[in-house]
Amino acid sequence: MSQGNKKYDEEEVEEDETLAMTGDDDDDDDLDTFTDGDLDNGCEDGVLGCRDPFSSEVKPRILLMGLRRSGKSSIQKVVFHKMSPNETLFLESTNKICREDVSNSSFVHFQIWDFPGQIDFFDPTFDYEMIFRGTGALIFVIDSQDDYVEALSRLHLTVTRAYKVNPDINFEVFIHKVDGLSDDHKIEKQRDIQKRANDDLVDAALERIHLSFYLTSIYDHSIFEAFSKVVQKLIPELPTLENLLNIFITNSAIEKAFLFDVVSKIYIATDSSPVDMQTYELCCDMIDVVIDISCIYGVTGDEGEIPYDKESMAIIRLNSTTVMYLKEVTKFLALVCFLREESFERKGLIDYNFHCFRKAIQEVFEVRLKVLRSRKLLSQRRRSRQATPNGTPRVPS
Amino acid sequence: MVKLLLAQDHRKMEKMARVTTALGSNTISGCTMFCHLDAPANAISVCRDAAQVVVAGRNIFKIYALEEEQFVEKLNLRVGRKPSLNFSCADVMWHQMDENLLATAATNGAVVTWNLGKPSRNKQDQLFTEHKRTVNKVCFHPTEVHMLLSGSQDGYMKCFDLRKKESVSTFSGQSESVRDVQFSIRDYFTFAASFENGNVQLWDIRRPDRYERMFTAHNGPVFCCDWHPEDRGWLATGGRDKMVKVWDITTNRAKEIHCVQTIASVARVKWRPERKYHLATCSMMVDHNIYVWDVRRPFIPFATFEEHKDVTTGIVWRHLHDPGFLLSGSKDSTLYQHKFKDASRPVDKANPEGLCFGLFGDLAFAAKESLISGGGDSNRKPYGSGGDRRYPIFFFKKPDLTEQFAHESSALSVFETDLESSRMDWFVKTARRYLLSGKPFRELCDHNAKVAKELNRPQVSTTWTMLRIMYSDPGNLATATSISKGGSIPLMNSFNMKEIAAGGLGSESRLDRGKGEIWQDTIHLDPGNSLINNNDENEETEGSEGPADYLFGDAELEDDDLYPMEHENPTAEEAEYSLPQEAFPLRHEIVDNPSVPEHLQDKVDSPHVSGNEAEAVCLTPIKSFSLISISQPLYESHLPASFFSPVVREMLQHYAEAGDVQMAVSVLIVLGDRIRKEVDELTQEHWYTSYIDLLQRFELWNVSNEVIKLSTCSAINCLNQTSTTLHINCSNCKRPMSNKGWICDRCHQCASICAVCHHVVKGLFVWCQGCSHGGHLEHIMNWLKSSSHCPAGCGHLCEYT
Repeated sequence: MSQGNKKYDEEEVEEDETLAMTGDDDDDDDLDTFTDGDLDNGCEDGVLGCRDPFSSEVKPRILLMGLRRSGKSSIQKVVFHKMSPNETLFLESTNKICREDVSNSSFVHFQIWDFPGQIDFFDPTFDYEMIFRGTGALIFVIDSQDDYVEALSRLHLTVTRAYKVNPDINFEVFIHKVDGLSDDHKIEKQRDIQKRANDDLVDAALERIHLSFYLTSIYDHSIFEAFSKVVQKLIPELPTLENLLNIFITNSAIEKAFLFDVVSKIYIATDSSPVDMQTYELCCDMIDVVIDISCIYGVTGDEGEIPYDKESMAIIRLNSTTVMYLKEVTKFLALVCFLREESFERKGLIDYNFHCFRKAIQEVFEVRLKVLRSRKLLSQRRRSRQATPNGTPRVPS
Repeated sequence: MVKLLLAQDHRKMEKMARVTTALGSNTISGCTMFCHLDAPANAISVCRDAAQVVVAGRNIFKIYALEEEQFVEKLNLRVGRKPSLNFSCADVMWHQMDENLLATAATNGAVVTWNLGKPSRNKQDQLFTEHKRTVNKVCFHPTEVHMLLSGSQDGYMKCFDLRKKESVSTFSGQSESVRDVQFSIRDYFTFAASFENGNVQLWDIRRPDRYERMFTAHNGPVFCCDWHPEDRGWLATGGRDKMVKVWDITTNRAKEIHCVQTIASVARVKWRPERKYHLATCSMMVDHNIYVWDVRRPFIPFATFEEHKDVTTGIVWRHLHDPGFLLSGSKDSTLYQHKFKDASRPVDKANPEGLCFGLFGDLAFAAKESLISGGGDSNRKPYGSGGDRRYPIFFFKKPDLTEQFAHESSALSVFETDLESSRMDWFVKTARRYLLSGKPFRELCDHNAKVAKELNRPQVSTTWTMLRIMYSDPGNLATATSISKGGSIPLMNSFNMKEIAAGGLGSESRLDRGKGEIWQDTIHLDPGNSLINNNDENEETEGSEGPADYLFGDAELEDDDLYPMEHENPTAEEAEYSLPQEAFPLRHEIVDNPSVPEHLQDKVDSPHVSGNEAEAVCLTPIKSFSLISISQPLYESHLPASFFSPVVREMLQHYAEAGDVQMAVSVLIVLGDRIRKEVDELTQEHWYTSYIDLLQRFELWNVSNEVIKLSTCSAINCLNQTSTTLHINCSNCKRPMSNKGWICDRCHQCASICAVCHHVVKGLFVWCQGCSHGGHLEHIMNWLKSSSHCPAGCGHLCEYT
């Protein structure tokens, strides 16, 4: 019996290998088409580890804007600094532009610009062109518990200006502080805000501008989910990652898998099955547990660094016959899986598949790095020639 | 024009098809059955003639024939040793016009069509790889043969013409993931798409540039939508927010007309054929059941299928015109056919009785009308279904075979409590007047007994007296009572008991008969036995029930409790059997040491003590009353105080459980060490916290503080030690004083100088909260008698209250 089982397993493994390989092929194709497309619409990507001023300018940026006291700093603190939501009550209002680099993960390297609400953004002395040009996403925060008429007019103004400078910006609207509203009320608010904002745009004949709306609150995980979605839109490799995850979970009998940015608990990608809020919350909690325990028992040389390395791995068995499995993927990414206890009996298979998965992700990185380097080279050459040809640059292979 | 003609043509065809299939539907038969699949299913779809079903999943793609008693595997479409990723299906759909045509959506973004008519083993027909991310849904046009629609995670919907190699038009959902697309069954050109951001969009297939309309349907992703098969304006949507909503989109603004709240996020929703208001749902997580809802009755499912052991992923009604069969696929790798008749009906198990307390002690009770209509008591104000429309509560009894919710109405009765009796005056007064410490034990008991008596709570009063007797010097036990059957103390008491037919006799007649049988020479009565009338009260509360009284008869209760209680003395029994009197108005004034007739009046129904005869009586099912008078024991008992401890403990517990935690805590404090060890710490703490909480709600701060102080629990004691910090500002510089001394370290002056005598205040310091000047209490008082201004000369009009 056991022999038969083993045999079966081996067979499975073999099949998985081939599957994973075909997956890789597929992804490379995807990636090629994707990066091509990327090159067409210009400089959106940053360069890993590049320190020269030019490249730091082209890093995708996330701007956090909104009226004062709408909760921008709180969002930033909660999402990127692990502040407890209750502590945000004691945050002082921001009075200068605060730029925060979040380049801790190889996938997420972007900047959060926390604009104080008080500053008149359209002061002529203010170089908003410079700010909008390299921006990937503009998050506008509206306080849902407040009167939002003023916020909407400011939103309209901001969006139209930004669109003129950089039509590629993703406009995201966070309808924030919804924790105080009832469910019906939430939908009503969202509907109303959505309608008014879009009507304003239609009146200005700017229907092309698309606003995405999210209901958020720092007291639950909705803010993380919203941020995840915003970030995912800025990750050009998303389809590839999703595909890899799909293949991985199919062949390992896993129910759900997330690729997490460990520091911010934003999920960079997940398989295509729908995200359930409880699952996501459990994953976030698991990461917290792992990091906290590593902080106590792990060996770290550095004070500020999180104790997360190649050896990081955790298994949590829930009493609902479910197992949560966390494993390090890259320096800043972790894979968190949800699977049934029965499937976890074949841990060897899962580990092997994970190995393939990790390799594939590293390849994705390498391709991206290569592309970026060559692009940088190209642009430098171009600059040195003092001529910018209009055509699409080809990727030297 | 051509297209329009085409459309009409197809409508005709559809009609014809309908006629034939409708006829065919008569022949559908089968039973609840299932088969094992090799892998979890993601989606299922049936063939038009309802004879075959296709199951698709990440590792499975098979067609099964539906036979009378079983599924038979017809075809495995996953051919080849190394199946490509195009086989990893997220969704599948069987064309409703062409029975050879299938479409699948792959997790890698491919849309594949299959032609079963192909002679080769590989039936793959066409492959569209236009989507970048997982395709979540494919949908054939209900009447147009070649039109296929797909919705993908990448936010695009694409319309394919199967005669062409690539998509005809692309609809952009503006980068939001599409979860479901559905062609309208009635409107030829319309389709609905649901999105992960909670929106639902309606599109015209001819206008790919912009949606016709959009509305926010759910909070969180909308996982599914389904058009009503008959009503063209109805669209059902289900989302992660655990709701199923039915929208009427014929109006200008999409209107929510029905809403069903389920217990888990809704993965699929399917209208039930031929039943206008029924729809089936299955959930995505946690809940494995399939529910059929009647949207007009959203609180309880009409029917439930509970066969699956893991999440149900796909549901489909077997035939377009047959409501009797539902097919479902699940992650537990099974495929089920559910026969509707075999479904379980949650309404059968629903309890049609309800009971609820109102804010002011009113009691609402709902029960089936058939049960309730027997009584005709004046106490009850029936809010029958025929009467006040605001109060009808409907319950569904067994749905009959016509599949209607046969709703049975039940009546709601509201019993109003006398406001006086529910008031808590006694609590406040008792709390204020009780003495808990500072006097000898006996005096405390006597005092408290007096207080209770004055407040018309004879039982409590008696308890206090009893306590005094029990724990005081045994020499004083002239009136002590102790009955212990088989114990060392012989009994010289008497039992008088009789049976009174329930409801037949008033208390007067009972009294008379009772009198007749009572030994007249039982003079010395144990005060502990002067009880409130249990049965009188019961009658009051149950009055509406009329003849149903015996259900709650005391006899049975006593019967249960009798045997273990036999060795105990009357105090305990009193504690056990008496109802908390504060909940009910007392019918009789009960005096402590009544003369015989009075006493009888009070005691007529008091629960009896043990004895063989008593037992015999108790066993009679009819409400029986027995009464006892206990004469003085032959000689005095000398029992140590500890003998009573278990009894007292039980009494305390009884009081606490009956809702009179005040009594429990007061006794606990007064008895102190005598009883403390008998009650476990946690219980004590629980009582203390409850009582303190109550006191604080009644704003009896002083009493609550006293209780905290007198409590022996460390957890309670330390309540007084929390938040004892006082933050003070220096009265000179108005800055917070940081150091502990007298001198403010900022302005280097003494902070607490009397404004009148200019000396440093030690002891009581009173200050004005307006200007923060102050001083010795008597100085300030004196000053403010003569002047209303601040003594410091700041010009503030200080007030001393």
